[in-house]
Amino acid sequence: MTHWFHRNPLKATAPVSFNLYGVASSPAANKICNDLRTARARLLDMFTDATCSPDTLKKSSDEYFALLQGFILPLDGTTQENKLRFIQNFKWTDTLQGNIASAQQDAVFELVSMAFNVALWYTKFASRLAGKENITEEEAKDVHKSLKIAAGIFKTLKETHIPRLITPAEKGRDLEPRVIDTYIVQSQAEAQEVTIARAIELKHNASLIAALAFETANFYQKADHTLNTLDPECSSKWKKYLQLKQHFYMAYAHCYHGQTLLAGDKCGEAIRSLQEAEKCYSRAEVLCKEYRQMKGPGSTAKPSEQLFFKKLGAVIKNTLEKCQRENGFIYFHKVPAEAPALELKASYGLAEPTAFELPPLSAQCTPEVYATFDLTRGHKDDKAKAKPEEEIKPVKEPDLKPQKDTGCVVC
Amino acid sequence: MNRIFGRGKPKGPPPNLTDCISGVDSRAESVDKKIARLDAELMKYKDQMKKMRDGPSKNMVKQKAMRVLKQKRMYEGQRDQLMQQSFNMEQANYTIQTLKDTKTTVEAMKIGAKEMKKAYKNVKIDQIEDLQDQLEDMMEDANEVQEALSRSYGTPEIDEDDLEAELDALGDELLLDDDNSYLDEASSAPAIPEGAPGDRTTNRDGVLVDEFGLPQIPAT
Repeated sequence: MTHWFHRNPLKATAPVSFNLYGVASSPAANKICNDLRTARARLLDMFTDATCSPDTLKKSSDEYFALLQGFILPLDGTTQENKLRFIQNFKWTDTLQGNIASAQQDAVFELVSMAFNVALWYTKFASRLAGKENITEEEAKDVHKSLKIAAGIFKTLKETHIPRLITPAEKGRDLEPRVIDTYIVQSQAEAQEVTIARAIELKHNASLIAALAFETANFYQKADHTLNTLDPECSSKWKKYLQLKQHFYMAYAHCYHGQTLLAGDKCGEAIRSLQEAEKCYSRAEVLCKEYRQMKGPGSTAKPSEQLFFKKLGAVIKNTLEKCQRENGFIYFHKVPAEAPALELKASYGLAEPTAFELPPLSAQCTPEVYATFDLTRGHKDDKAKAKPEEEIKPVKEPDLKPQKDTGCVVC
Repeated sequence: MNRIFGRGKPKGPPPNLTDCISGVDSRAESVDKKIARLDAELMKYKDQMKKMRDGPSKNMVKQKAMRVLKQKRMYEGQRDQLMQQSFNMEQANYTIQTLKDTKTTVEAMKIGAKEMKKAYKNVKIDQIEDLQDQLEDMMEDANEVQEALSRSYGTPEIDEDDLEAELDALGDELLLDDDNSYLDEASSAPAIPEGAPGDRTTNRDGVLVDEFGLPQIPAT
């Protein structure tokens, strides 16, 4: 089964030269600065490389983060702050703010921003892979794993690293708790989408699928509510996506709950449940149109024309017809006015974020080399600050091509 | 024109043969369900009739059973019709697939023929025959050389019967060393271990789960 996910753009950044000529007073210190510049440029290139694999990206990001920790961790044996933490200025845009950049002279800001981009890359990699027509089991595992890794990175940043920043994030920025919460929950929900597809493919119990779909719909609802206080101009498209998916998976939950009720010979309630599924599906269809017309950051698509959307519609229609037919000549149950309550507790298939750990400190960053960074000598880059600030260009990303229903039978 | 004659309704997607087959199969399944219910009812009536003596009450139960049986026959007929319809559509689908395969095959063969013609332009039959003749002659010469070199001389006459007797004796000596006692322990050997140690993971309640967190065995 194919999937479709909404994706916000990657964060863009200005190149950083790490030129600390006056301060880096030894060849080893200079080598660290050069390696940092090279590793950063290589990592940024990989974000836009369509052939990059998760292993390659992890290796590259680990190299950069290992070196960058030399600017963050205390290296002189004391509990005092690393003297290099505030020496370099970093600029990053946000996923919802277009080209507007935030600047902080803080290595922790660079760490969390780059790690945020790594997590975004994992979600985009999962999106590209999941969009294929005939996804294999191995690819489904990769999608599932990538989304859980992304959720884990977002979660670790929120809990451990972002609180260390001296300047708190402004409203609507990526590092704000509400925005990053939405990213965490969205990644978990999308991982569970893969699990639901797998459960359907393996013909698991309808009650299991209904419970999972209900949990997934709740995740999307939670993510949508988290964005309520944001500026509609930058978040409304994303909110439409979350609402769309919420109704879509609520339709799934009611549909498979209806199948569960039918298997338990409660045909009247099953019909009502499927009617509710039909209502949620129609609502999701309306939201698809609104999503397409909404302006804002992120990719755009026609979700209601894609395979994953149409298949559920067919399932709901066929199952409802089956229930009504059987009620007409087997059960003769009365259809209740209220839809049956979904008190479904999922015990299988829930997606938990994968724990994320930064790589250990690079071997180059020893206390001896750290001591050779001399802050007392003048930072010769001060004169270069007079240059006009360059505009940060958005990152050009590989295309996400959604799978459409061709409807072709013979050719 | 729109106000008076209205506008045509938007057309839905054309009927898909596979979807029709599954639709009819679903209806047949529903009829099967009804028949199962009727069977259960018939069994109930039959049990009642066993316990009763002949009389008006038994006749009443019998009448009920006959009515249910009549319904059952009707539904069975309907089910057979539906199954036949589904089968007809399956045949049509199969024919379509066969035609598609035929089209693909014919196209592939056309391409093959074209490639063959092109390749034949580079092949000369006379040259090939000459080449084969040369190879044949050289092989004959080589055979004559091998025959000449393999002539034996200076060897004493050996009796065939003596050789056969010696061969038989060799066989007897080889068999004496055979020992099959190790086969007796084969049945009591432990089973082959399956999977690496520490391979499995379990969820709560001891149910095996796969990488997605779903039970290994679908509980349908």
